[in-house]
Amino acid sequence: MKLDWNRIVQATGALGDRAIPWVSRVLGVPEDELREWKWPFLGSVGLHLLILIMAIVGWSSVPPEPETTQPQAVKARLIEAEEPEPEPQPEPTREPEPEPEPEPEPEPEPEPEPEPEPEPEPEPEPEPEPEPEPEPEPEPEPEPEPEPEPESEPEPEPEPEPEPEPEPEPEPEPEPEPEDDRRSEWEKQLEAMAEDTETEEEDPSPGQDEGMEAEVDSENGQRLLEEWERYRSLIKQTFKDNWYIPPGSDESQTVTLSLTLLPTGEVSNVSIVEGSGNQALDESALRAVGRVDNFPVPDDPAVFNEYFRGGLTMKFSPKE
Amino acid sequence: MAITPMRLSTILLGVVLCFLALTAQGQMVIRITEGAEKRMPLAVVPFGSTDGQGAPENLDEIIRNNLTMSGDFELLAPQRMLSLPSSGDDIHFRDWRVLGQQFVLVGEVDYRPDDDRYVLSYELFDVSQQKRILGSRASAAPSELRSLAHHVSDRIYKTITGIPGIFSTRLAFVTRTREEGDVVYQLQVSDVDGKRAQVLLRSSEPILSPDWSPDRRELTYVSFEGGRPGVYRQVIKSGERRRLTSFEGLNSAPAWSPDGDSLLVTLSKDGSAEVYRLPLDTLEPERLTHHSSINTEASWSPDGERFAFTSDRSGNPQVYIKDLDGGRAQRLTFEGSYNARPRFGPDGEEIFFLHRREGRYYLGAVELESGDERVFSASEMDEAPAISPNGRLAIYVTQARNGRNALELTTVDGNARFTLPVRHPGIRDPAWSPLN
Repeated sequence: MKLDWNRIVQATGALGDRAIPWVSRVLGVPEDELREWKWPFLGSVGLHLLILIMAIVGWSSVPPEPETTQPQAVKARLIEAEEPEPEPQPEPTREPEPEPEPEPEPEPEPEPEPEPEPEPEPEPEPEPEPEPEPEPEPEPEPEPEPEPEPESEPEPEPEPEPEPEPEPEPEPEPEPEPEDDRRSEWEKQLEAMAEDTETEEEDPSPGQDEGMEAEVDSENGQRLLEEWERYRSLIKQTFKDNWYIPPGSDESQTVTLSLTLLPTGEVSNVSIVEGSGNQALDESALRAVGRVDNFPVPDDPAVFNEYFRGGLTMKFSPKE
Repeated sequence: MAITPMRLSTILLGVVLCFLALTAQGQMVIRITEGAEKRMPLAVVPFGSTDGQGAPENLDEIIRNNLTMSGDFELLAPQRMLSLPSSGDDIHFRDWRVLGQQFVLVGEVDYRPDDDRYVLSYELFDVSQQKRILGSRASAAPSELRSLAHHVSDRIYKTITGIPGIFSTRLAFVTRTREEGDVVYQLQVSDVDGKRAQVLLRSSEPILSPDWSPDRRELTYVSFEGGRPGVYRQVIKSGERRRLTSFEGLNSAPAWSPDGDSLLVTLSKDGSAEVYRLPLDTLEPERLTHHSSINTEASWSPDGERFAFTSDRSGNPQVYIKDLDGGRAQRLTFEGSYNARPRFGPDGEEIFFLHRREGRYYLGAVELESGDERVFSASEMDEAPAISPNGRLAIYVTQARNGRNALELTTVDGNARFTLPVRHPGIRDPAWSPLN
């Protein structure tokens, strides 16, 4: 089915025109002025409706479905097995090495010495270097091969769609300041240590990053909040063991995941809400979640329903 | 009542607030800033073979050594593996999870008699997501099996980290030995793991400061043959060589420009040691520094627009930077009284150098934008570090217990070290080739 955008636009315009007299009456604004603002207003209303729908649909996303924690095994056995041969050599000279050549250099005696290693060299190679390769030749071109292609994911892919950030979040963690002036390594280390202690101290302050102080006034709300804090710390601790930060990533990069947990602590759904721009970092976060068999979750259903049932947003950002 | 932009925005704000109120019970946020302070666990399963013979080189072992050397991976010893699958179909992910592995590489290597080549089919799996993230096949002549293993190592490294691997790059270095009482200097090149070394030049006179051309086909270096120093260039494959300079006084520290058209060299033909640009077509040196102090050891910025160098104009050796087309030299290092032998990192954001404090040497780095200086590794010799072309590793000469020198690698964050299996009484001046 094809969408006819012209018709959609016309219909929307007509709808707006019909609504104008009514809005004019409600707001007490002359119709002419309203017509000037028709399209911006319709756009805005449409956008908010869309967001609202998405939010509502998102809430019902904790299906008590059976546990399917992992992205079930990829059956990906590669269809590439087909053509071993043809190798029409797309890149005939992939040459990982320029390397030695047919023979000795004329001049300054490069002596090809087959076993260059002057030393006994204790290391790696146990294998008996078969023969004194007099010399190379073509190169080990990486066979034609239907490239690696990462294979289709079983999981809901990254899709960096905008997704309404749940909270304005007053940032819990004292972010690692962008340092701009010259300081010695020593000073920085001291500062880093100081930052760490600050973090420790600040963490326990309830609900800071979630902006959910709403029920703090009630006693029960306070209890729930304390429980949430406890489990939040446990989850953070879990990732200290399971998140392998890829080299080359830094604090300026943040990948945001959305995940849904079952009351058993298993992950029923995880997806990237916003990528970091560094695919290795994005993948490392997904991998870390995959490594956690069971998230620490509260036994108390009230706490789970309050803080976990709606899903979690996890922001992974390596601290320098 | 007129509707002004102000009023409209008030209305919109109301709508947004309603929305926020409705979503106040949305997802909770957890910020994770600390990960495992360990290297990534990876298992390279010994490769299988349908003909039962395998290859004359132990490819999986070469790959294991490579990835260990990178400092970013913790390789699982084959003896600890619960199973030895050679294809993805045979992998039981549970086994690898139990062993705490993040990745598993499996493969099969077979001989193809038709063209006398070995074919390696390999697959890399992400254990926690149980998905294949790399799979391919590559072949090589029997004499090039190590290149094949390096090539596969590069692909694994790139797939997991997003950073190019350096396992197919090469090293150049100089050795000094005694043969029947005579001192012999040799200019050699080898694989990055120190294997397959090949002598390019032997001389009874010192050889110094090798540096690679950007296309990896040539080296430039200083040779004292004939009793005086000269800067040379030599084609690696053919051995063809040519002397580029032989001025009175110093002819030292050649550094090949990123575009391959010229060198930076230190000459003292005009009196003091100064940095010159030497176009390779005209060989007419153009002076770049003008100071009565010593100015030497120049290193190009990756964009070819600036150079870093050592100067003692402040009273002791420090690292400076200057635009190629003029301007003032700007001092970069301030910590301590000895900072020398600068080398630009491949991204141009950091300059690495040798730092000396209380008689000991350290590898240091200064970040250009912030000016922050750091020291990331102790060294034992007065040797410049060579930086890997992906910016992750530094290589330098260190003195082993037995008195023989060794080439040691360290990650530039100082978190991991690895000693190459190349030991030589007088190994010096390692230079790292560019990427392919």
